[in-house]
Amino acid sequence: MAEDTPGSLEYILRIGQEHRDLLSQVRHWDKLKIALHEGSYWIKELTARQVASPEIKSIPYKEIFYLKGNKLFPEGSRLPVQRMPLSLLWAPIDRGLPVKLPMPNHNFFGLKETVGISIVPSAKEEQAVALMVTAADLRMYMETAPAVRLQPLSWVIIGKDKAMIFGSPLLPMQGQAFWKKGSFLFPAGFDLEFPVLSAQLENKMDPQGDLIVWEKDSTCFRVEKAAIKKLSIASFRRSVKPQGSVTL
Amino acid sequence: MLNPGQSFFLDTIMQLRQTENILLHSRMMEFTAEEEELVIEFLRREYETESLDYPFVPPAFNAPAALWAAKLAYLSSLLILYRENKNEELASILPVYAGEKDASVILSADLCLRFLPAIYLFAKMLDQEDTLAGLLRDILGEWPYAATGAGIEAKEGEAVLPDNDCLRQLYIDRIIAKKDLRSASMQGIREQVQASMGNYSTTFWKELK
Repeated sequence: MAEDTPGSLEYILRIGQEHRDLLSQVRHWDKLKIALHEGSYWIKELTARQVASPEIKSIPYKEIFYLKGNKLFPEGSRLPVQRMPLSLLWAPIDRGLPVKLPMPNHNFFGLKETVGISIVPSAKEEQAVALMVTAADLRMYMETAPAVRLQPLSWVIIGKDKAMIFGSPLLPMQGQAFWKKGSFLFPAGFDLEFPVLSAQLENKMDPQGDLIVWEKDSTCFRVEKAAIKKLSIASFRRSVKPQGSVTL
Repeated sequence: MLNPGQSFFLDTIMQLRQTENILLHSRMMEFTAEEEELVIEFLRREYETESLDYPFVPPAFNAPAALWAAKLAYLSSLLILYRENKNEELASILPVYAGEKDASVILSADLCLRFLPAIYLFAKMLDQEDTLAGLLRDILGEWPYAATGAGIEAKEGEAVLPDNDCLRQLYIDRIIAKKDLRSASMQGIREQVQASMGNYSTTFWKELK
């Protein structure tokens, strides 16, 4: 049923001025008009459906009338109880019930509070740009690698027994994939707990063009851009200990 | 020890390896044993540097094969520019490689032999019916690894995939790098090419079906 059928009844709500705050839950219904008269708030232009809604039903201390011929009939009654007061000053409800912001506390000096930086699982899907692999795995692949797969990649050694490979498409190997945001590399499926801080955090850590790699335990380390070299069998053989060892 | 200016032969080969240009300094067609030693020494070093990038276990350097290919590149360029010999003599000036062709020979010879397709195409461009061009084509037909991508029909029995792991992977890599569709569509090679590119064959080589 359309709400604006001609002849449908207009409903009026009245509530004592002291219960003003109870109206907050219908404040966003922007068609309503409100007026103050002799200690009561009057709200007009309510529809039958709005009157039946939980928002209105859950307001206590209210009186609902329907309006017919300038007379107010209580809901369900055929006898009017009073006339509609004349010369009310109607205003849109959001103007009639303005929002007041709390005053700032000028004496607040809690500046020592800090926010812990950590990374948490995230549901966003991102393109992997790097792969962290163990030295033993990489050695097994590199010894027999087709040149075409290595060509778009570069790499850097991490610690004693890990290596990080950058580029796309990455190698078909087991390892931890990473995605990139600014200078940060996060493990795939993880993001900062407060992603909004990312730019500030980056500014503060000041990577100067280097990369900052985050690990799942929220620790991070820096990878110098200059240390990242093109991946090739020769580069790998020059960098690692001879055959048989699992460390780099 | 290996300084430019010691020997014209060495200079030409160094120039070829380092800048991929042929620069001929003399019309001498004979080499002294000393000159040959210098070129072998140079090529041995080149092979050591290059084989670091070879997959699997690179085979050892083979000096006679490397020298043969260096002479071939040098003399065929010389014959394009300056020829006093009769056509019948060319085959004896540019002999085919005598000996077993294993992975070590093929890879050592390839240091200079990889430039032969360009020399052949240049000779062919100058004169379609030149005996020299025909001779070079015959030689390249026996060396499919060096001839990859040049569009030269390999001789019977030469086109099969090598047994040596290192050479086989290098051969596949070269087919992909030169996008040699004809070699890549051959039985046996095709699967290896696909395996090398894995899931990304369309990324690396769109034309390959």
